[in-house]
Amino acid sequence: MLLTETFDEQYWIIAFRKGNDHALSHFFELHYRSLCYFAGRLLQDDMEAEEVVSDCFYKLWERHQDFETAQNIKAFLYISCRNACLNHLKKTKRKTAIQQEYIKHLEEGEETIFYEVIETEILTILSQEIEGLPDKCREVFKLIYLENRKTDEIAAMLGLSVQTVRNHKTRAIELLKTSFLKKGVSAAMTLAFLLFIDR
Amino acid sequence: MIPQQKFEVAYEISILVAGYLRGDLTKEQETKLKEWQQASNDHLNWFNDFCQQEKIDQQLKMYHATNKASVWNKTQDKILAAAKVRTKGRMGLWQRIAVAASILLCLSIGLHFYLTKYTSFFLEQQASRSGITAGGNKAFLTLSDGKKIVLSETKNGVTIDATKLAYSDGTEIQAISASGDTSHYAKVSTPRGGTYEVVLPDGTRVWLNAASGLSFPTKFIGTSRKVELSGEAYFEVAKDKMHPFIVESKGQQVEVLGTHFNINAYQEEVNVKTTLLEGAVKITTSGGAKLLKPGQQSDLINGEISIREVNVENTVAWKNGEFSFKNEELGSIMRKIARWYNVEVVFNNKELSKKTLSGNISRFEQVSKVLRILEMTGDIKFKIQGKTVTVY
Repeated sequence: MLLTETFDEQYWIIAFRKGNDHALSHFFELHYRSLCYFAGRLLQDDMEAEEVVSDCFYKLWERHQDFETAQNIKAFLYISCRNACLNHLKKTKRKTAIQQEYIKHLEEGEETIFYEVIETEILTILSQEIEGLPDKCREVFKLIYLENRKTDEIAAMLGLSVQTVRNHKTRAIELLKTSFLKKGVSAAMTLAFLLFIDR
Repeated sequence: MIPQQKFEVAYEISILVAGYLRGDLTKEQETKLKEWQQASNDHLNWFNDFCQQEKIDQQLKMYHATNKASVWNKTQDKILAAAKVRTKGRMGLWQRIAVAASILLCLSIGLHFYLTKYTSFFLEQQASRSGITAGGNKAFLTLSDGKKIVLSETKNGVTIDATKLAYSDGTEIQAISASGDTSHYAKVSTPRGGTYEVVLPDGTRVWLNAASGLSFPTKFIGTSRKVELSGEAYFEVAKDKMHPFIVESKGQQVEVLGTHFNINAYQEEVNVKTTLLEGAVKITTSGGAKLLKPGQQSDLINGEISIREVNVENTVAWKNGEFSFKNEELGSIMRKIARWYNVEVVFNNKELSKKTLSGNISRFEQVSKVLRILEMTGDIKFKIQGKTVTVY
């Protein structure tokens, strides 16, 4: 497993250095979520975050010959994203209190971005766990956990019976290792159930 | 600037925290995490703050609320815009020098692929995003009583005469047989991106290319069989020596007894081209009359006719489902593509439309594939935005 991963990484980095566009979409696939989240946190504006992130990938592509390892690419993306966000925040005339705080932190030192990177990385790992679920199971899990949908609503959306949706949920809880995710989905379900009863 | 090492630490901590959340840390990892937490108050505060159920739930929601397509499209647009500036400016010259040098090194083909590759890849993405599709069997029929019928896209031809209206496989077209129509004139028109076969009352077969129209009587009466064409059509005229078949089109009249020929008479084209495959035709214009022999093509510009020998296969390739260009001007090629894929074509530089290119490809391929072939044969690039194809 690890060996093939290393091999794949080697393959993609070589292709990327040669200017292969499929390699660009490979690295895009790997990092776009992290970067959007990262930029979204700093900027508090999703549209601006999209601009900044697309700029970062554009800059990455412009320098495609300079990267030796996949880690270099990741670090470059994080750093250029942080710099772009900082520049953007400085240019913004009306800043929120949080943004002003961020600018101060970002200019002072590396610690803020350090925690942001850790948080983003943890979310990436948790997200990979969700993405690793079987198809229908994943779909149901996401709808419950990420979109707070009710069981009957999901059943109607996916054209499944309520019981099948419940089965997928149970299976998701079985398959997930992270207790936080298990608790998260159970809590969401209980909440939805209570709200339902309340009516 | 943050050193790579700092990132390594961040990655390591994130793996440890994720392991903690999952509850599968080894003893060794647990110790490491503890050590890090105790190294500074900041670390501990951050850890306690982050590891709350509601907070993680909330952040995962944010993490998943990204619009992948939108970010990817923006990235592509930026890359393409930069590539465009380069081909225009100084870099363009250097690229050309690089290409020339490589030809000397017998690497021309490889390099050419290399240079065209990434823009072509984006072309496919752009094309699928724009929803541009190849043309197909699309046409409608207008009768002189004003009735308009949309012809089925699952059939490829229609047979029309005074008593019957049917698809070429024999299926009757209900709209008319039921009403006992007494129409005397009919017109079959294809939209941009449409083609259709029409069988006239005398058995003559006509294939209409995109954005074309053919008007004819539902019964031929009198000494000649007269029809009117706009756009492009290929004719296989039924033999009838007593009744010459006459096609009227932009500025000319083509008279035949029974033969196979193609007329290209689009309004937007400067010249009208008539190409003969079999038999003989007479072309009459305001300036006089000329006879065509098989394998010849007449070219009418501003009332003047010139005749030359051509490869007839290229001329009728469209009827056989192909684009076939032989040293054809890009302007003319792009007008064909525009009509078939129903797109607008913009030339960034007028000079480009004078370039001549050659190539063969099926008309039923994706537009991106057709454009890619053209990119490979000439020093040009394409960009697709919505329904507009830009040549640069």
